[in-house]
Parts: sequence; C-alpha cells; structure tokens
Amino acid sequence: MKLTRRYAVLSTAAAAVLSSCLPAPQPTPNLDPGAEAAGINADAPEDLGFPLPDNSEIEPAGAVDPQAPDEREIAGTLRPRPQNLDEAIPTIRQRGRLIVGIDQSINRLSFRDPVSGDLSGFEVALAREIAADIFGNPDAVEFRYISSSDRTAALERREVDLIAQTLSITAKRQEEIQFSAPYLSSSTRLLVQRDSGIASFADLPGRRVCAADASTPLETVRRVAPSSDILKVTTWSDCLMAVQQRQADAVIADDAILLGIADQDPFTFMPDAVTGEESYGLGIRRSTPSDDASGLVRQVNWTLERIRSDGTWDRLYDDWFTDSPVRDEMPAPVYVEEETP
Amino acid sequence: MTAPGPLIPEGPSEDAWLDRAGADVRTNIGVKRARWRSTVSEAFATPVASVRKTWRFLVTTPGKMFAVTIFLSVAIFAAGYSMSVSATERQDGLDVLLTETEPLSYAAHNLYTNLSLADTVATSGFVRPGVDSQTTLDRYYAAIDQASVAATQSASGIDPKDPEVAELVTTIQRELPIYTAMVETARTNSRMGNPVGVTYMTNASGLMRDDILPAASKLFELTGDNVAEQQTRLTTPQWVPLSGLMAAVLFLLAAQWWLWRRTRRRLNRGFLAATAMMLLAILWVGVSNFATWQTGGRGFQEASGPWDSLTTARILAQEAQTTETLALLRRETDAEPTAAFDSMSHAVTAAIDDVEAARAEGVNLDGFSSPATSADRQAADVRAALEDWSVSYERYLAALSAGDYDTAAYLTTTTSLPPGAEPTTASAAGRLDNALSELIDGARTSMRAYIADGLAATTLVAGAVLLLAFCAVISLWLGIRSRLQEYL
Repeated sequence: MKLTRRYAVLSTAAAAVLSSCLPAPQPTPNLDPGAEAAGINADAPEDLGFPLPDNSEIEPAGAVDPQAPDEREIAGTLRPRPQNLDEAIPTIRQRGRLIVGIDQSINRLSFRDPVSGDLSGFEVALAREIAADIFGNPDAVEFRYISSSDRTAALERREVDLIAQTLSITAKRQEEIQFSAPYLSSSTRLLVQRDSGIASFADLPGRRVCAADASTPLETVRRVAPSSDILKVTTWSDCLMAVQQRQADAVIADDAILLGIADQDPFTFMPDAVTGEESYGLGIRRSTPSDDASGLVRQVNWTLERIRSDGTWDRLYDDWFTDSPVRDEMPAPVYVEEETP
Repeated sequence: MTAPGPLIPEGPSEDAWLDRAGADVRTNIGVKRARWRSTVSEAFATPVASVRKTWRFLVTTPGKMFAVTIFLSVAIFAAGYSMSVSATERQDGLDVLLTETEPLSYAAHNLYTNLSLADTVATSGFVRPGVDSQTTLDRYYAAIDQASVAATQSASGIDPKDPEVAELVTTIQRELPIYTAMVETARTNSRMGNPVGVTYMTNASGLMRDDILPAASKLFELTGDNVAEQQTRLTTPQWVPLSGLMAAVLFLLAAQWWLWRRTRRRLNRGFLAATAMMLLAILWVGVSNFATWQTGGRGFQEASGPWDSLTTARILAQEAQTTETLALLRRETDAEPTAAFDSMSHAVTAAIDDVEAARAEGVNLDGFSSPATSADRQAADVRAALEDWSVSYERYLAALSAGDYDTAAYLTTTTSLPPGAEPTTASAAGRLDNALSELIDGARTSMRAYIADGLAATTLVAGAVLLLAFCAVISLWLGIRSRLQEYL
C-alpha cells in the first residue's frame, strides 16, 4: 500500500518533469481549412467542365410568358414577273455578287464541309440557284454567318441581301421584313440523348431545353414546356454542344435543323413527337420609299418558281433530305393580289 | 540633486510593523536612532549612494570623457549596424528581384503570348480546308506546352499575401485544360466531318479570349508592377541609415572639438582614426548607392521603357492576328479587325521608336552581347515585317470586302511561303512576332544585367560598414585611454 503510493507520487513527478520538457501546447491549428493552401481557393467552381455556349443565357422556367399563337393571316408575297435586273436590283448587279446570310454549321442546310472547306447544304444550294439566275454564275454569291438572333437585324443593317437561314414565315416577322415564297416546310420536334428518358413533350417538365434565341421554336418551348428552364443560344449547333456536354436535356427545333444535328451524334435521336408546321422563306429587307426591295423579292420568287417547275427543288430535296421526316413537297406560294401593270 | 533624507520621521514614535522581526524596541533613543540609520541606509542608501557616486564621477573631466566615449560608441555602433542591416536587406531584395520577381514577370509575359499564339494557331486550322499540318500541330502543342510551363512558374511565385495573383493563376490553371479539351473535341469532330467542330472551336476561342487571356494580361500587369515597385524601392539612396552615419560623424567631430577645448590637445589619434573610418563607411555606402542607382535604377529604367512598349506591341500584334482569323471563322466583316490592326500598328511603331531612341542614347538593349547592334537589326526587321503586314492586310481587307474568303483564308493562314511569293498577313505577323520576341529578350537580358550590376555594387557593403563601425569604436577607446590615464 505504501509502496503503491510511493510509485504514484513518483510517476506523478515523472509526468510533471516530462511534461515540462515537452513543448508548450500550441494554439489548435485549423484542422478543416478545406484544401486551401498558399492562399488558393480550392473549392470547385459551380460550372465545372466546358462553359455554356458563348453568349448563351438560361431563361428560368416561366420567366417569359408564352405568347398566344399568332392567329393573324400570313400576308402573301410579290408575284414574280419579267423585269430588267439592272433596274430591279441595281445594287446587287453593280456589286457583282449576292450576299446571303446563312447559319454557320447545320448539317444538310448550310455548313462548311470540313474536308473540302466548301460551304454546302440545301440553303447554300438554293442561294446559288438565285445567284445563277441573277448573274448566270452560281458562284457569284458571298455567304456570311449570321447568328440566329441577328437575322432580321442583319437585313436592316444592309449587311446581307438575303437571309437563307431557317427563317419561318410569320405574321410577326412580316412587320419587320419581307419574305419570299416558302421553300421548305418544317415541323417542330424534339431531339434528346438516347439515355435521357424523354419520349415526348410531356416528359419535359423539370428538364432543361435548348433553343436558339429569337427563333420560332423558342416560342414553342415556352408554350409546350412551361416548367422547363430554357438554354437560349445564338446558333443551333450550340445546342448540340450543350446536349453533348449535358448542359441541356433536349433540343426543340424544326425537323430540318434537328436532322442535321442528329446526323453528327449517333447517341441522339428524335422522338416521335411533332408540334406545329411552318414554312421557311428567304428574308428580304422591307421596302422603303427610298429603297425599293420589291425587285429582289420578285427575282427570288422567280427562281423559286423555276426550281419548282424544272425539277431542281426535287433534286435538292433528294440531295439533302432523302428518307427524312421533312415533307418532300415544296410549299405552295401565296401571292398578293396586284393590279397588273 | 540632494540626497534623499530618511523617509521615516526620526523620533520616539515608532511603527512596530516597520521593525525587523525580533528587534528589541526597548533600547534607548541613541541606539534606536543608529538602528534606524542603518536600516534606512540598508534599504535605500546603497543605490542612491552609487548614483551619487557615479554622478560625482561623471561631472569630473575624466568622467565626462568616459561618458562622451560611451555615447559615441553607442551612436557609431547603432549607425553602422542599421546601415549594415539596411544594406543586407537591399542586397537580399535585389537578389529576390533578380531571381524571383523579374522571372515571374517574364513568365507571365510568356504565358500570355503562348496562350494567344495557341489560340491563333488552333483557330486558323478551322479556317483552312483539310486537317492540320504537322507544322500547325507542332506550333500549337509547343505553345500549349510553353504556356503550361509558364503557368507553373507563375504558380510557384504565388505569395499567400497576394490573393489577386493567386486567383488569376488559379483561373488560368483551371481553364487551360478545359480549353485544350474543347480544341481536341473540335478537331475530332472536324475529322469525323461533323460541322459541330467549328462550334466547339469558336466556343474554345471565346473561353480563351473572354476569360483566360484577360487573366493572363492582368497577371502580367501585376507582376510587372511588382518589378517596377521593387526596383524603385531598392535603387533609391538609403537616406535614413546614411543620415545615421553622418550624425555619428558629426558627434565625433563635436566630441573632438570638446576634447580639444578640454585638453588643449587638438588631435586625438584614436578619435581621428574613428572619424576616418566612419567617413570611409559613408563613402563606401555612397559609392555603392550611386552605382546601384546608376545601373539598377537609371540603366534599368532606360532599358525597361522599350521592354514595356515592346511587350505591349507584341500582345497587340497577337490580338490583331487572332482577330483577323476569327473574322474569317465567323465570316464577320465588321470594323473590329481594322481597329485591332490599327492599334497594333501604332503600338509597334511606338515600340520601335522607343528602341531606336534608347539606342541613340547608348542604352544597351542587346543583353550586353557584342557587337551591340543586333537590336538595331531587329528593329529594322520589325519595321519591314510591319510594312509587309500592312500591304498584305490591305489585300486581306480587299478580299474580305469582295467576299473572297479563300484568298482571305490563304492570307491569314499561310505562314511559310515559297521564295519570291508576296507576303501574307500570317507570314508577316510571324516575322514581326519573332523580331519583337528577340528584341524583348535582348531588352530583358539588359534589364537583368543592370539589376545584376546594381546587386554587385551592394556586395560587401553590409560587412564592410559593420567592420568599420566596430574598428571605429575600438579606436575611440584606444584614443581616449591615454587621456583618461593622465588623470590616474
């Protein structure tokens, strides 16, 4: 008993001696500094991976109320008639070439062939037909890339003579620009990745949908998918990039556009869901008293009539849309009633 | 000063609590008083007496001499020591400037130019038909490799106290892999014939131009500011410690005058030697300061003027080239490429004017290689390349406004020409960049040589000043010793 106590005293003393030898306790270091070192914030940013497409914007679900479908009658276009081209379209004739705004990269419609470097596609070929009728040379045409949201503005700035860029003829757009006769019909459809589980518009709530800004499909998205966030991009191929990077779950666009997108990625497909049918027309600036564009409208419609009757349209369709859901018939033109001069 | 009397009133009244334990209080008054005296003097008188004693000594002549010498010793040693510390700090600072700060700024410049070059090369691959050539791939991967190395160098210089630099380097390090991934995705799609390749490339270029390059540019700016700030701080004369040395000399002179008045002996050898040593120390520091200011300060600034304008010009030249290529990729013909070309052209002309003005003043811009004419030759090369670029740029603009994208693409992407062919914008821009890069390297080597000279001028200063101060103190005491002995 006594011995034990002595040991206890000894060990306490030893502990005291030992502890006095040990360094004094340091202030507790921050044991949870994250991975921060050398002043560098190591927290992962919110947007990992590829950035969202340039100049794109996410429109939260319901941020913009869908507009009621435009019930207005679409106005007709000017009937083609034989005309002296130097008088009807003097600026273009003097310039020696036609300037046409197209999309940068939509397969089948207008794209740059990565192998040859040449531009090709249905709309490019159509523009060449128009140039051939004006100059006798299908290559007398300059193509400029116009972003989807800039199509009508580019016409107003006189940057381009024509817009051949999936521009649907609507009464609303007719307030700003003129249209040629329609050259292609399209219906609005969905494009999704195969593993997305989306098979119809009904599966869209809560998923993010991509559409080009200032396009008619964007209006459609707001109407058919009011509880989906919308990724608004400047060109349609940005939507393919967004889908591939899982930044969007679905693309809503015209079938002609979606076909070109689906071509480039075997992991995407177009479910059997269709809404609304529209027709594409070539966009032309509005006529003003000092600047009459009606000559150009008539000239373009003249070419459209020609390719309808001489089989060129059918050839173009076969070149680019064989076995596709795009309607294999050129839409019928509606001309305004005019007094014959 | 009077000696303090006993603090406790003398007399019969007694405070028992002040008494020492066991003291007999019942003794007579006389004994009591003696007791009190001894107690008080024990408690207080010893320090008082020693102070009094010291004071009495100090007011005597030898005491004064002793005091003055102590004071001088402290003053000289303090001045010498602070000068020495300051000189060591300066030497270390210049060393840091030469081995860390300036290389970081150069790394930031390399980072920017290589990132920008990589983007231009990658973009041009999408303007030309076909797949990238071996040369294009080599240029792209070399630029990415150099950019990664430069980013790592920049990261190695991150000071935890400078969160802005850390953030910029982190942004670049984070986004560069994303950029390269996007470029590779673009290339693969392009090879598969998928037009979405162009989309990936334009978006990659957007990431580079909107996020990565601005960060690199800001980083270059900050690191350049650091160089300028350190360089200015380290090459201005060390006025404060110098004034300490001068004060010590003034005290020495005053002391000698006083000694002369007191002893009627004008010159004391020890004091004289101490004065000489302190003057030598001032001279040494002064010469060193002047040399550092002359080379590390003035020479550096004369060489850094051209360096600043050359680096700016090179960055703008790369921007102009990328803008040209992008305009083709996007088929945009707005005013932007013209603006970029014009500001590049002005900046390059200004930079070459700076180089020639500096050369005319005899500033070395060749990294002190001999003969010192390579800068003149490179400046002429830059002017010739700029002239070629202007001419081919006119052709490029003409091709664009004629809608001839093939010619415009040829002009913006063809870097190697058959002999005798008219220059393309790409070949002229390449030559311009090479010549600018050589000029920049020359100016940089010169800047570093000037700093190194400034650093060399600070060698030994710290040790010498300390040694001189120490010797001065010793000679003071040797000198005063004989005077003091006269009183013993």
